[in-house]
This record gives sequence, structure tokens and C-alpha cells, in this order.
Amino acid sequence: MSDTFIIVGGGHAGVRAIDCLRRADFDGRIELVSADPHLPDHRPPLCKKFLRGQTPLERMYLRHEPHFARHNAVLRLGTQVEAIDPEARAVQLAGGENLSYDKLLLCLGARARRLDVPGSGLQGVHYLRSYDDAAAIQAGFTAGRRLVVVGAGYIGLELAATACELGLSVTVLELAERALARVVAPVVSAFFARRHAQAGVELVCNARVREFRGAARVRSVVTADGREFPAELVVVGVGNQPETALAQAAGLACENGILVDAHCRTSDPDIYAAGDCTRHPSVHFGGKVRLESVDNALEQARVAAANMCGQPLRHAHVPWFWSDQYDIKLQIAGLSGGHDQLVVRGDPAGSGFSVWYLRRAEVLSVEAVNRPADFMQGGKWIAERRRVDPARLGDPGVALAAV
Amino acid sequence: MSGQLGFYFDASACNGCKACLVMCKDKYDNPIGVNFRKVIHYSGGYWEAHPTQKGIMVPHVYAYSISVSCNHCAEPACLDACPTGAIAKKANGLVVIDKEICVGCRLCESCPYDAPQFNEELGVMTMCDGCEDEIARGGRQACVAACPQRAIQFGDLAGFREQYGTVAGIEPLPDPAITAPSLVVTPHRNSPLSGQGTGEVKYER
Ligand SMILES: Cc1cc2nc3c(=O)[nH]c(=O)nc-3n(C[C@H](O)[C@H](O)[C@H](O)COP(=O)(O)OP(=O)(O)OC[C@H]3O[C@@H](n4cnc5c(N)ncnc54)[C@H](O)[C@@H]3O)c2cc1C
Repeated sequence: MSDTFIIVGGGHAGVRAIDCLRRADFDGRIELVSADPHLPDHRPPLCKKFLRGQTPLERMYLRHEPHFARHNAVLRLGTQVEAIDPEARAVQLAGGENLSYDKLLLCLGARARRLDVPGSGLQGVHYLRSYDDAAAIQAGFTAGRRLVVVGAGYIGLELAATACELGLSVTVLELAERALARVVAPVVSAFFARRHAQAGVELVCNARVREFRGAARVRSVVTADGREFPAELVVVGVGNQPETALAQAAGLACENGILVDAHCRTSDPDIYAAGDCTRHPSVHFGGKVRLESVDNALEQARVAAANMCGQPLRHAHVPWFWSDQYDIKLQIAGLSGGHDQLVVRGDPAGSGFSVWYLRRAEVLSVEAVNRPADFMQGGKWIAERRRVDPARLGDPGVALAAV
Repeated sequence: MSGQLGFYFDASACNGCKACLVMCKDKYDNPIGVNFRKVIHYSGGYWEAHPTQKGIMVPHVYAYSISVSCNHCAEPACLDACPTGAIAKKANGLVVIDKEICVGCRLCESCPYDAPQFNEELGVMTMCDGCEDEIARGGRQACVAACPQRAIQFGDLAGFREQYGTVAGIEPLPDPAITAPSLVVTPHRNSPLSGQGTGEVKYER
């Protein structure tokens, strides 16, 4: 009898896992159970192109129907998994049906962190994770409206850029002293702050949201220092929490994410996990990390699939990320923690430059603004643990290949 | 700026021999599993009342093949999905992948035609480039040259539309509204339009 592998979660990780299982020659039964009611879709466009209102859902499918048929995968959409029984090796679906598995892969993603302040339940206060969330926001995206975005992270800023291009009047409130503080170098934050200011977005840093005001609908956002920002629409983007409840209830080890090893295996040998819901050891950089990115979801899915098929594979890949705002493409490779030197290549006052993080001259990470070639080269160097001469790296007169 | 280049495909002439696919695969030396062009066999049908004899039901059946590659769409879904900017639409309308900045993430596989193909050895995406070398020297595309039925043509899309009409989607091709493909199809007789078929894909590739 052939094996049954069940995948829970139809996001980037879950969908990629189907493909990778078949590429690894798994010929048993694959079932993908996802709470989302429609075919799995791309999330990145949800705060960009989709909000412009010209993108039907079919254009955002990760894969179209025939792909799943070709890969002989059964999709159970709009179906919540309510419990896992690791002893019986079965999952329980909403409605009570049980599905047995030989191996289980959890690709549960993350949920938008809620802002727990008075008024957070008012109409017009939105979070953004899923297609349905985005559709609700899009319905209120009318030129001239006042939008307050809480949080100057990637989602907040991308959304602000789109809204601004559509003629909304946009204010972004950020708790930290600069935008993207957690994720990029100050010079990159400054670059984006300038670009948003140029477009007419009001970016307010050091602003702690204390309250949303309004009767039934939100009318304003109040910060801790008493300032009041009028709002007809609010989108909160203040980070995510990994989806761990299901795993926790099943007794799997969790700690700010479902804990997995470098093979994407959880504390149960027959249960694997991939994507935003996991925390994993970083083979390249050391330590444990939780990454929220499409790349990480895809790569962990590949690693998990191989190991589920008995082909040992470690998650040793150099992570990468991107963000699109206006005409700017930011691309990041590697992880910057532990660096002892920052090198800027190119002119941050111009339209493209890159920031390099070094540790004892070894390249750890690169943040490339409109510089795809720097991003590509950086990724290779990071993987090779290449050491560079910081002076030559910072000299735009020296070709990258000659650094 | 030149006009949009595209494909004309005559489903009423195709016999499903796959010479197009083989010639293309050979030209680009693609590994197993990587096909810029594929051939799909589709068949189906239903019972219908005989036109003149009362009470008699007769079968209405169809079986035909479709050869399809990248359609160099007006609204390419692959281009939207690409995170690195590696996919671009050129002045002649061709949708091309820059292998130098492709990271091989495969997000462009959201193409409803399944056109972008991941080349595992190279670690990048690859797909039909309209045989750019042949365009440059005025020659014929590999698939076009290979077809013994003369069912495939490549050239000026507006010209094809003028000559053959505007049908771009018969089953099992996706609804052309999704990406506006640069494709004109002469349907096989009885072939249902995209989204209206009850038949099944018998074989692909
Ligand atoms: C608006 C937006 C923009 C983004 N932009 C970028 C970007 O530009 N670049 C980038 O790298 N990343 C971006 N991200 C992040 C990226 O989308 C995530 O990192 C990625 O989706 C993670 O994939 P995943 O498969 O782990 O989780 P998800 O894609 O979140 O999928 C999780 C799935 O699990 C399902 N699920 C959860 N619990 C259950 C259950 N109990 N039963 C059944 N199903 C369940 C959910 O319904 C969902 O389908 C963005 C995210 C958002 C929301």
C-alpha cells in the first residue's frame, strides 16, 4: 500500500511542497487541506497591484487547476484542520471527518498581530493577510479618502505607496524612530522615508497608537502623546504571529514558531513544518531564526518534501527577500545579525545603491535598492562566505566582479 | 515600435504528432521534463437528439490536440509574479526572462499556460523566446518549421486576427481574459470554448 502525505495550509509553502514531493518521486496520495476557500494565491500583490482594482483572483493563483490534477493532488479547500492526533497519525477536519496520514506537513503561515487598544473593533480598522482581507480594504480604496497606516514595516509602506498612487491621503504611524527599523540599515530607511515624503505620504515616527476613535466607524487614530489623526480607513501592519495553536495542542515543541530542525522535522518524527509558522536553525548563520518570506516558505517546503521522501536535505540556503514600493525594488540577501561593518556602494541620494554587511570582511548580507546585479552577486558571495576588501567594495569605480 | 508578435494555431489541422515539441526541445537542448511547447489531447462529447429522426439519440463527440507554448501575453501573469524583475515584455511584444537576474524561485509558474519552465541544472526559469535568432535572420521558428500539418504560424498578431479571427481560447486552454494571450486559434470542429467543455485531458506533453 502506498503512503498518504497530508499537507495542511495552502500558502506558498503548501503548494510548493506538492510539486517537490512529485519531483522527489513520491507516488503516494497527496492531500492538501486549506482553510482558504479558493485556489492558493500570491500574497505579495495583495498590498500592491491588487489594490488598484484591476487584478482578478485568477491572475494571482500560485498554480492553476490543471497543475494540481497533473500532480495528482487532492485539494480540500475551505476546510479547517481542527486537531492533530500524532498517536493515531490523523488530523481532524472541521465537521468531524478524520484523515489518516503517514507523514504530515504543516504549512500554517502566520496571522497579523492585533493591536490591543480601545476602538480596535471599529468598522474601517483592517488587518492584511489574506485575499479576503485585501478585498475588504480594496472596497474602501477611493481617491481622496484619508488612510492611516499603523506600522512602517514592509506591508505598511507598500500599502501606503499604492494608496498614495491611487490618490488617497496617507499617514503612516510608526512606533520606532525610523521606518523599516527592524529590517534594514538606517541609510535604506532614510531613502524610503524620502521617497514616501516626495510622494506626499506623511510618515510619523515615534508614534505609539493609543486609541481608535469613532462611533461605529473609525474617525481618527490617537497617539500616546495626544495627537489625533483623522482617518476614514485604517490598516494595521504591526507584524505577525506564527500560527502555532494547532501544533501546540498536539504536543509539538513550539517557541515563537513550530520548532523544526534543519530537515524541517518537528519534535514528532512523522510531522514536518515549513514556512512562516516555523522557527528553524540557520545552517549558514547559526542560531535559530523565524523568517517571514516567500523565499523561506518555498525553500523549507522543498527541504521538507525531500526529507519526507527519505532523501536527506538540509535547509542551508541563503535567505532572500524583496519589497516593491513605487518604482523602487528593494532586494535583500542573507541575514545581517552579527555584522561589524557596513559598506555603502553607490549614492543613496541617487536612484540606486546597495548596503553591505560584513563580519571580519565576510559578506553576511546585502540590501540592494534598484540594483539587481548587486543582489545577485551578494547572494553568491554570502553562500561562498567570500571575504572582500571593504574599500574596493565601497568604490563604485571598481566593478563588482573585480572587488 | 513594432507590433505584437504572436502565434496562430490551427486546431482543425493539428494531428497531435508532437513534432513541434520535439524540434523545440532539441533546438534548446532542454532536459527531461522541461518543455517550452506542449501538446495536449482533449476529448469529450455528449448525446444529442437526431436532427430528423424523432426519439433517436446520437453521440456528439470531439477529440483534438492543441500545441501551446508561451503566448507572449499582453497581460503576462508571469511578469506580475516575478519578484526580481527578471521578466520583461519587449517592444515586439515577446515576454523574455533575463537569466542573469532570475533567482529560480519559480513564482512565475502562476502562468495559466504553464509556460515558464524551471531548469533545475541551470537553477533558472526558461521558456519560449519566439526563436529570437530566427526572427533576427527572418527564418522560421522551430515549432513552425517542424509542423507537417502547417498548423502553427508565428508573426504579426494583428495580421493573424485579421486573417483568422479572434478566438484565443478553446478547451482545455484557460480563459483568454486572464492574461490576454497573443494567440489566434482556429478551433477544431465542435471544440468547446474555454470554460465550456465537459471533456477531459487525455494526455499532455
Ligand atoms: C500583503 C502581504 C505582502 C507580502 N509581501 C511579501 C513580499 O513582497 N516578499 C516576501 O518575501 N514576502 C511577502 N509577504 C510574506 C509572505 O506572503 C509569507 O511569508 C508567505 O505567504 C508564507 O507562506 P506560508 O505558506 O508559510 O504561509 P501562508 O501563505 O500564510 O499560508 C498559510 C495557509 O495555511 C492555512 N491554514 C492555517 N491554519 C490552518 C488550519 N488549521 N487548517 C487549514 N488551513 C490552515 C491558511 O488558510 C493559509 O492558506 C507578504 C505577505 C502579505 C500578507
